[in-house]
Amino acid sequence: MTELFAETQDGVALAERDSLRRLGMMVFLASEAMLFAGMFTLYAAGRIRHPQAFADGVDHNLRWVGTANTYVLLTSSWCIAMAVVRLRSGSRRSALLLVSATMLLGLLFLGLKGYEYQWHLAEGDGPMAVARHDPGIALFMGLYWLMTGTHALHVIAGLIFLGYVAWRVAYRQANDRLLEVAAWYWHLVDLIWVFIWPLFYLLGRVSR
Amino acid sequence: MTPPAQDSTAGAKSYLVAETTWSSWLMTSDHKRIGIMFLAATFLAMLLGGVVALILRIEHLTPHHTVVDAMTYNRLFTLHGVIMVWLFMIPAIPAGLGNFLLPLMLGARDVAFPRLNLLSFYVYLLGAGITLSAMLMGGTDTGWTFYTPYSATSPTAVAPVVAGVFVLGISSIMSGINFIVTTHALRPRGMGWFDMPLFVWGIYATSIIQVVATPVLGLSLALVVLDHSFSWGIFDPARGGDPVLFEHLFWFYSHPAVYIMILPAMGVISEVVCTFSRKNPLSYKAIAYSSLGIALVGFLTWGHHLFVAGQSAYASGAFGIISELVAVFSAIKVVTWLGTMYRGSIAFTTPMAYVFIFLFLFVFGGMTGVAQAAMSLDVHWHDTYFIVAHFHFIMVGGTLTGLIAGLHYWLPKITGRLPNERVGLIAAALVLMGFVITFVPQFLLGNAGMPRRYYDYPVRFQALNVISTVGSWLLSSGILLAFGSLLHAAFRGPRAGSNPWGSRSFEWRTASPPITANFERPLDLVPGAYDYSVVNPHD
Ligand SMILES: [Cu+2]
Repeated sequence: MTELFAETQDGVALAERDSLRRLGMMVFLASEAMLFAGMFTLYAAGRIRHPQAFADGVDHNLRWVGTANTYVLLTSSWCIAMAVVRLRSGSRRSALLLVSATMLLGLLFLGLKGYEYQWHLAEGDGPMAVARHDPGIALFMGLYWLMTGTHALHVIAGLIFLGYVAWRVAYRQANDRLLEVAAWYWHLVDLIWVFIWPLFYLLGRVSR
Repeated sequence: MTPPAQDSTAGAKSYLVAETTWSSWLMTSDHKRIGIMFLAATFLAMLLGGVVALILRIEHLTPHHTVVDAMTYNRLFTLHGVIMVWLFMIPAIPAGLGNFLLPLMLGARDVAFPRLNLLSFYVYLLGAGITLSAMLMGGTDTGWTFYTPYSATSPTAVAPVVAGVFVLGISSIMSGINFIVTTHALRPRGMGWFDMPLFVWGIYATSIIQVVATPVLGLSLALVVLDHSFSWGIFDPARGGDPVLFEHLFWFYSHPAVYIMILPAMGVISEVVCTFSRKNPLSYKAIAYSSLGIALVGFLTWGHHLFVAGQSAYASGAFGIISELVAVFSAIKVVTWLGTMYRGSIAFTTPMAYVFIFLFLFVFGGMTGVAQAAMSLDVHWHDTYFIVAHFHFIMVGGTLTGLIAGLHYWLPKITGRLPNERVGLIAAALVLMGFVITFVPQFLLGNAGMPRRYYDYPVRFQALNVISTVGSWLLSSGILLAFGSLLHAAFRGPRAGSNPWGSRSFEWRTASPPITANFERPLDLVPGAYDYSVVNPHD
């Protein structure tokens, strides 16, 4: 990752490299936020048009999986935030433990997600079968696969990024600033889930 | 003039000859070489898109079948639009000239993320490859806008074409992030935001649009693929979806995208005007802020593409009014450029000739845009040749003349050689005549009711169509002459010296062509980039 960065005439100081990374990540996160903003807009438009079908879709979904996953991701965000704090105060070992915990929680999230996808597939509601549904439900299921799927891809990307940074930290090639940038990405992925959760798991017809 | 850089750089060679192997180009992380590769790739795309345009115009020599059948015609106008928009106009100035110049103008060694920069180029090539190979598979007939629901049901190769454009968008985001961070973080100590050359403002504003708007394009394109391949029906009314939603998402990107094309060109114009008027801009801040203004207001105007798509009159009115605001910012720029020339000592060089062509096309095309943004008028012109003529005048005319002006102006910087003035001016005259003769008839045709994208037309439209087609030959010969002359000069032109135009802008304060590291010693920020009131110690 360091090779990605330019050196000026007299070589970019390490602090300056960090600021490039931080700024680059911030701008990238803005881009990511717009991607999901577009999807939330689609959801809003669909929900206004088909309120009943969307509520039914939510009620049909596995609420406990979505809720459990929310807690899993929130905990993982706490872990990665603490990892940055620990690394900053010099305790690399506990920082690495916390990053590992973050990644394990990320994997747990994907496992639960996989279970949920498996359940939908078993019901014949897979992404290839969206067209089988009635119009409103089809839209809901299309958005479900689109939004949770895109989010899951981001979780995978985040795991790869965290794994890479952890490896660099373990071999003392990276400082807490790089970990912080990776943590930002993880927080965004987490934050997006916090919005997906109510839209696909909570806002049903009536509370059960 | 004796370039002082020469003596101290006796050891360091120019970036062009420092290394000469193929891999030293293909695996380079030098922003200058990457910029040149982008310029070369986008140039090839322009040639291909231009050939298709010529075929389209030849087809319209007669009201019915001339050289291609109707289905081929549909595929060709799609091909023309896709190539010209995504392979040529969006990347050409920012990723080509911008890449080359941004670090030089900031006194930096390279962009913030050089390897990301190279990756962006290969992602561009990948996207171009996917799009063009899909065209070999028969292409698609949806038009470059991929409107649903037709694009979801068209039996042609919609999915791969759209997927290619999706990949091109990733390249665009990568470059945008790189340029934003470069502008923020790699300015030398002492260079404030209002000390930067104005071209940097153009690239910076463009990059914001690329980063913020492109993801939404990616989303809408991904959904077209899902609709087309798996019948998801997100945009299909029969399946509960809404085709107008696609238009909203698509134009949320594609209206700002016209500023991705024009803002960098405006940056070129600002540089050329100041250098060849030997004056500071009438108002630096007016040009800088209006770039940001266009970029930001541009995000709120997309609904002017939906005036006849069932959008509420209230929404249309709001979008119309906001759209007119863009004209205000544009007018500020035009007035500032003209005010800069006023009482300047103008050198009428080829880049300057293109500035005047730019101003003519931009003001003329811009005024038709002001008219179109008024809902009542647009309802009459919507989907006619009037629109085609409008955006070719302002968007294509602006980008193309900006690009050619920039290439003439910075050719000495890039290659160390001077372009041929006489050939350059002849080409400029051809381009101007070609533009007017090609597209003025199209304004008239559109106003008379000829719809765009139709294969046949009534016989009464033939005369204007023939004139337009002849114009396209003039235009293309002008463009070919301009680029031919530039290519020839790049290899055989007379040596230029480090600052042949006597510009004060920062990129000229190093050798031309620059050494690989750009500057042998830190960039001297005095005098300012537009300060012609003092003798330039760097000449
Ligand atoms: Cu528009």
